[in-house]
Amino acid sequence: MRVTSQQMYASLLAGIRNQLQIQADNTEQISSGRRFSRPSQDGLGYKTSLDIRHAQKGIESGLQALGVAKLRLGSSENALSQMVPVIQRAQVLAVQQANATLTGSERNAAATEVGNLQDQLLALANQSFDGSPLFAGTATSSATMTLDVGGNAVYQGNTQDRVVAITSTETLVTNVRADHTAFTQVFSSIQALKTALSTNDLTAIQNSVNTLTAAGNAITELNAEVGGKIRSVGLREQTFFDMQMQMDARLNRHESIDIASVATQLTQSQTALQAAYSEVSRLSNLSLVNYLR
Amino acid sequence: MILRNLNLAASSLLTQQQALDVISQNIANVNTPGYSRQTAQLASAAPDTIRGRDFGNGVNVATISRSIDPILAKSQMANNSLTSLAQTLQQGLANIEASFGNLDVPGLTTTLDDFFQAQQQLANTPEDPLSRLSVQTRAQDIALRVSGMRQQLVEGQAASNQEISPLLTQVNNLLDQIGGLNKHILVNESSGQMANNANDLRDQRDVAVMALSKLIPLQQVATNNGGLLLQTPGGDLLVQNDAVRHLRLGAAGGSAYGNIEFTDTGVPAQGLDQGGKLGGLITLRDNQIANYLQNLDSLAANLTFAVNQLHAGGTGSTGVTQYTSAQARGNALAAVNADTTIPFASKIVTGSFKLHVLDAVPPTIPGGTAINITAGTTTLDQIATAISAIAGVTANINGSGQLVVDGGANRIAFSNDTSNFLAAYEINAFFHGGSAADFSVDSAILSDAGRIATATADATTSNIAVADNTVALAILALRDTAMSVDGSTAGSPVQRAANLASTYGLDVSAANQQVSYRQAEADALASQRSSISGVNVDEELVSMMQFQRAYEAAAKVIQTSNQMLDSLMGLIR
Repeated sequence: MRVTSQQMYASLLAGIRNQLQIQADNTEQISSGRRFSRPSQDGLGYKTSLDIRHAQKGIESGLQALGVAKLRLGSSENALSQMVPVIQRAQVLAVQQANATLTGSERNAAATEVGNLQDQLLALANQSFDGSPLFAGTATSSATMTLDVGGNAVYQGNTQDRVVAITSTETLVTNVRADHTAFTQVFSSIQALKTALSTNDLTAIQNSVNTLTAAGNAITELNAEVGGKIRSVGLREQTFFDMQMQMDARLNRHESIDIASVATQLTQSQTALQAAYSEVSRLSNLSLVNYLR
Repeated sequence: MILRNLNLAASSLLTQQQALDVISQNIANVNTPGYSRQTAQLASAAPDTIRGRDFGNGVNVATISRSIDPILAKSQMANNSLTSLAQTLQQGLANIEASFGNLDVPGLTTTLDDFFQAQQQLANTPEDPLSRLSVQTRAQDIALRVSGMRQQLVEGQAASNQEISPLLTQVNNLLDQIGGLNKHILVNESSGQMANNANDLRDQRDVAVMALSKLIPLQQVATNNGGLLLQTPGGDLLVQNDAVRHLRLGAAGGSAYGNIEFTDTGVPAQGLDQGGKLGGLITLRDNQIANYLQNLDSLAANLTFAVNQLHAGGTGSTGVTQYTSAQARGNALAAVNADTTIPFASKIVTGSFKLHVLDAVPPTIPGGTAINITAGTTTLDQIATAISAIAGVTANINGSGQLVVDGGANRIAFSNDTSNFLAAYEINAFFHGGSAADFSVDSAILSDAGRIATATADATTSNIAVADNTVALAILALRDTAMSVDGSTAGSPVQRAANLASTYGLDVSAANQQVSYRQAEADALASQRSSISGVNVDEELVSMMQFQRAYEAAAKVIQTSNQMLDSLMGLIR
């Protein structure tokens, strides 16, 4: 093939252009620590990066939701736990007042304490979380429980549970409603005890011992149920943390550069570039003109 | 005979000088772009026959030819056209890259993710006003992102279009230049003593054709008489000898940009999008950027309608007593699903929605009243009349054509819209608009985050629980729901945004690959051309020495002949 000096210069120039492009690409990768940052650098890779980030956001939101669930269930557990000693005190009073030797005035005094216990239970049932009634379902406009004229507890909430979304399609119930039978048992048994003491009805007082025991057991069971839910949320949270770590690792694997490989490539390119520059200056000395002087 | 020797030597002197002229021309043009090496073809002169024997008459320059390969020239022309197309696409796509964001700057996908994250927080704590504000802000971010992105893409499209007219001026100038050169070549070559000797004019014409091929795709046909015929890939004539047809940018029709057409007939030129810078600009304008815009419009339309469908049947923490439709009717006589001014009118189907008037506790009509809609029949006036028939609420069409539902002092709420009427007319809507062009957050939501619907009125009692998150959860579920209200391929909003960025990335990648490939091809073709047509100074210097020596030899012949004449004259003296 016939060769002209223009061809050689053009070929060298093309080589220099390619090496400079490699230098620019590698320098950008090293400075950012990523294989690509813009969609134009790797269309499919960029899409995968966006997908991973989308999944990460989902996990982050899920963890926030589980946090809300834990707090709400924790508050419920706390309130239910506080009910247990109150009921136990009522049981003690019932057993004491079931003694046939006690007088009506002594039982009246006991009835006053039971009334206080009832108020405590009512306060616990009306506890709020984040400004909203804890046991009223999704109703937030009024107190959860009120006492009617007969002293009977009336549920003011609704029948809709508080749920949180831990993914875009998966929800978790995070509350206990005060229309649960355990609450009904507690308030009916304590009201029965209070009435029995006020009316000095020994048989009714003796019966209250059993109903209060049953109510205490029901609240304990409900509390255990809430505890189980909290443990379940905790396990779910752990799964989300694991997923979060996996996603972080995946994103890192997907986007990060192999610094050793890029640095080696950069060095090779520098060597090639230096050789090309040297060849350009050498080429200018090779001409027949030099020998015709 | 001695005098004959002198004549022979003189012809040699002249011919070697002419050959040296050609070498000088080659060396002078060693760096001239498009120059083709020329060679003086020497031939012995016709002999004289003296006494039955042929005696040579010396030498002369038979022709000065240029070294070219016509097939290679055509390949270069095609390559020029495709390289220019790829480079224009590469450059044009780079100019709009900022609109797609990058991994360090939040793009549309990140903004959508943030919106749904805020929506999830709202679903978890619907009674929290801060959660509502967060959703309001994130929704506004989406609207700003979408409109900003659309504006950048539209500007990119307009910039491509604006480049076309000046480029066509260049094209027309080159066509004129080629036509003029055709004429000169024909004149020179038909009047010259030797065939095909307009080498430099042909080089100039080749350079002009190469320059033209960078601007538009060409088909070249050489004519027998040294002329040249150029066509578009669609077969439309551009230049024939000195006849030239000019191109212009046609008038824009509606929202569409103008075509490239011939000035003389006004007929669109065919196939100009297949190559050259013009092809790149047309492809950018009409295909690539137009495609991104279409996808962005589709994303906005799907997000708007899907969210509004759910939101319209919900209620927020603010007790609203009056609703006004954000869309105004354009045709009072048309059925609600046939009014073409309403972007999603065609989505209205036969069904109903419920209107709850919360006039007392419990309300007079617990569970609300159903308003029935029959597609193709029910008009907006009929709906207003049906609503006004409900106790405690009135409805009318205001001067702008909007439906106004007024409960007076009573809170009103909507639910169970199976007809899509509320979403289409944007009553209690979240987003406004029918595409990315007019996409925004509903003005009522922007002025009061309490109007963001999270709950729904109870189907039996009409009760509204503030902590009810039914609607918030349903909107959140759209995060990963594939949707299509416009016949496009179904996809979730985030998927659509990610696909848009990815499609752009793949387009850039394809353009980059084309540029690299075409550039390598161009280098190889340039090398081949240089090999055939390029000037090698060493070769020219060697030829120069040859002709110099021949010149010296001819001079020596003259000197010898002169000595011979001297000797002859000496005999006479």
